[in-house]
Amino acid sequence: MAVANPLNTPIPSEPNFKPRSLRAHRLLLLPVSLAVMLLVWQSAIWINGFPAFILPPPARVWQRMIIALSDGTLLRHTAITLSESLGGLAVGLAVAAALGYLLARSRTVERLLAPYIVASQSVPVVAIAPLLIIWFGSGLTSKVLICALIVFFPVLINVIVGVRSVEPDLRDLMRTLRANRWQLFFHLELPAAMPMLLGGLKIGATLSVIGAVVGEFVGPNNGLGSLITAARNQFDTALVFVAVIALIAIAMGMYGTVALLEKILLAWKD
Amino acid sequence: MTPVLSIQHASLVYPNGNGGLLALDNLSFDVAPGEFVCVIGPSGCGKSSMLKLFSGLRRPTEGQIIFEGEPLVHPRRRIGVVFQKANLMPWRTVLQNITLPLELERVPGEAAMSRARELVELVGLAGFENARPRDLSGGMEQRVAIARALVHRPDVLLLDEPFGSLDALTRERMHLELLRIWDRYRKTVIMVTHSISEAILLADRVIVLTARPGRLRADLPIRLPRPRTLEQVFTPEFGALVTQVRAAIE
Repeated sequence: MAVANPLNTPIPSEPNFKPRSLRAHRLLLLPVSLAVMLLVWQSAIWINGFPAFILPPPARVWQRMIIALSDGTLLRHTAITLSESLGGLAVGLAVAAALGYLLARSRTVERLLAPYIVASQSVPVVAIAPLLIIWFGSGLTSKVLICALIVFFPVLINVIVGVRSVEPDLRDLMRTLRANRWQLFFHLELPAAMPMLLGGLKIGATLSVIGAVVGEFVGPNNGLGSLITAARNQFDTALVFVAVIALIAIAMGMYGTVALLEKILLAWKD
Repeated sequence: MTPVLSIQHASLVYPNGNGGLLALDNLSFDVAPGEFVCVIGPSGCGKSSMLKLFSGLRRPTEGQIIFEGEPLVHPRRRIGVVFQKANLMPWRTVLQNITLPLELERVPGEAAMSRARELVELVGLAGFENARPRDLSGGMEQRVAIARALVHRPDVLLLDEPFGSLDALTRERMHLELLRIWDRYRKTVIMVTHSISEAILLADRVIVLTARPGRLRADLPIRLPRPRTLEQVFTPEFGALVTQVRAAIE
């Protein structure tokens, strides 16, 4: 007997029905927008006649990048900024997740700590950064701490919202099944809060790169922030551009990794 | 026969800053092993609160619940609960949702899987083992919830208006399925409902509660022959029982 959708099988979501040509167009979108951007950049120089130390043309930035790549400066500084960002993200995430869980589960802890946490956010990280440099030197530790500070708050808020979003009925279900504390966390709270946690991590990943640059500006030693400072002092504007592009690459790479993680861990959502 | 569950002089007060809201008032009755009891009453009569007491999720303000001769002070694995909503975990597949109680009891994977497959079959969801809850209809979700409540073989099953959100046809199918399951395992069932015909079709006994606060209004035995069928709804005996229950509610 022919019945429409007899087994209540899920109907494939809309994108699968999109014609092939449309998807091909979407693939072209990025290269086209890049080309347009480069054209606007170059035209600005042609029209206004900016000297290279104000706005270097794309070709010059490209040449500078090749040089910075071949003599190893770019990779060395990029690696340092990347490790500061990753380290800060890890520390910030760990502290925010643990504290966020406690705050979400206990009103007492929330009343005790919330004022301090909110107060800490009213001070810009740039204002605290010099202190951290004084205390921990201009090495890796202070930079990681600056990144962690900037990552901490958005992740914390997302963890609290995530843990609080667990449905009370599901908690009741776990209680009727006599789940212990650890089982409750592992089987219910963690998976239920995962979408919010990963959302926080996405924001944190990009903020962490900003933290690293702030740290390197305040306590220049190594890394892309220091490279920018040095290049600016030498009017090597092309190198400033190269460093900025490297920063964008780091941020996009970290964001992309979290997005990929999201795709794998939250496959049940869509 | 000694009752498996009894509620004794139980009162329940919800604190509301205004002396509290009395949800249940001095409620007492016994449930015999293997009995199918339906509890019915106007909305807001504390039916769901009563079920919370039987599940051990909440303790009465006064009085007590006795489970197998001992006061019930916390939830028990041997008392299974099906909630109004299916309460499935969206990140788990149908099969994984059903094995949840066994995982929490650390039943080895092999044994858990075969038991869950058996129940998938029983509730008519064969072929949907790996589907996610979002791909299921309301009726299918509720069947998964029933399978999950049965998988660890509890002695008592508490059902809180489990079919309330389903359409009439699905509801009828679920009634027959529940009767079939009950016939096979003969568990003690306490089911809260607001449908008179549902209560009479399923139960050995219908307990009627009054509007807020919930008090025992009537305790009516249903002596219709088993196995029950949907056709019984049209018999004069059934009609007489409906009249009787309706009179008790009003």
